[in-house]
Amino acid sequence: MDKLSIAFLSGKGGTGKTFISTNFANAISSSSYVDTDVEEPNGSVFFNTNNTETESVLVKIPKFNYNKCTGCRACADFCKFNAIIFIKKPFLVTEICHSCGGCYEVCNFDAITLIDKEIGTVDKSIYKGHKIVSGKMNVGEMSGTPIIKQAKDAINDGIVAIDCPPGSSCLLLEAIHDVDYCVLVVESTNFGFHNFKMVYNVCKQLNVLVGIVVNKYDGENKLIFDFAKDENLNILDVFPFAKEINRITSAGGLITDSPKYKSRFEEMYKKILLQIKEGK
Amino acid sequence: MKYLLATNDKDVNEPISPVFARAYFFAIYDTNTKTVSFVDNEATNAQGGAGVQAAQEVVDLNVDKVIVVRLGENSFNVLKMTKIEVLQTRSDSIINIFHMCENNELSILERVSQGFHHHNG
Repeated sequence: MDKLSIAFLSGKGGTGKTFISTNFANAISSSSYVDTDVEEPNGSVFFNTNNTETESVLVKIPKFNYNKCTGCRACADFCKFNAIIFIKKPFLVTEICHSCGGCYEVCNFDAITLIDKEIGTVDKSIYKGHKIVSGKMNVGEMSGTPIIKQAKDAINDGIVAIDCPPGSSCLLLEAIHDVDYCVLVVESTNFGFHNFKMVYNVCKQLNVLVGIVVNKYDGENKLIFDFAKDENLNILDVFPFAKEINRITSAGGLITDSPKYKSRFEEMYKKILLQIKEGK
Repeated sequence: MKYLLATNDKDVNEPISPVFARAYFFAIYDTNTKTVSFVDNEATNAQGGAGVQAAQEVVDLNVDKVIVVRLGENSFNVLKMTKIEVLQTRSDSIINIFHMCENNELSILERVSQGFHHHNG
């Protein structure tokens, strides 16, 4: 089976990316769930498994051989991240290194070797036939993009629900890179709407298909509905700010375990497929 | 002896910069000639790693003492690897601070600041 990647993003944190994406994966057969919110992954709490496999995410950092180093300073001068300081000989400021390998390339004296450094992990497990993948960044690391890439690469086929990091930064771009569809989860507040527009513009730039899920709808704030009408955007579903949903979710449960909600997510999936087929 | 401090104006009557790594200039006082010279701080516009870069510039300038209002962890860690002495001052004019330094009225910097490092999120 081919791979169909659907990303769930929001701009603002706490709008319900994880809520919608975990329930989506749970509702749709032969689907997988990938948590790419590597700075604070929490999607796996909804999938209770005890079969987790963990793999390291490694990047390369330079190691200096001071016997061969002539002190030419080419490596320190090359590093635009200022990760190499030079006090008679080069030293690496590990936290600032972006693992570009440039210092290794410019060294003419074979004085630099690239060694592995773990920046995070990717957890893999199976929950009721769904593959569950979760990227996790080690505390103190600067950039989680390699972890996101490795987490996404862990699934090769089927429908993949990608739970994205909040914001519209590098991490998000890595998470939605090469996806087939973006579900924009929007909270019906001014703040939620503002940050929605930021990620909507990112998707527009990337020319990726989008649909909207309004979450925690209070029945009053209509900003997102007016915007969707003006821009001719597809509203896939609207979930109210309701105690019933909250009670299940806050206990670590999935609302799609009940047939009533399962059918809504199946409906959502049908709308997404239709839109992908139409290509707009 | 050469003393160095960070500043945003090329005028000895102007105050020391409250931040170190992203100040526009470094003022350098030479105790032999009793003169102050200014050099540009290339780290001002660094996208990241400004603390490291600024400290690197200071190391390359071969000064003996650096005077700061506060100093970030990255700059501090670089300077710590050298024989450069890091002294602390309150806000004052550049010339007054250099005179205080010459009269041994400044104390060693005791703690570093966490700084406001950019975040990827």
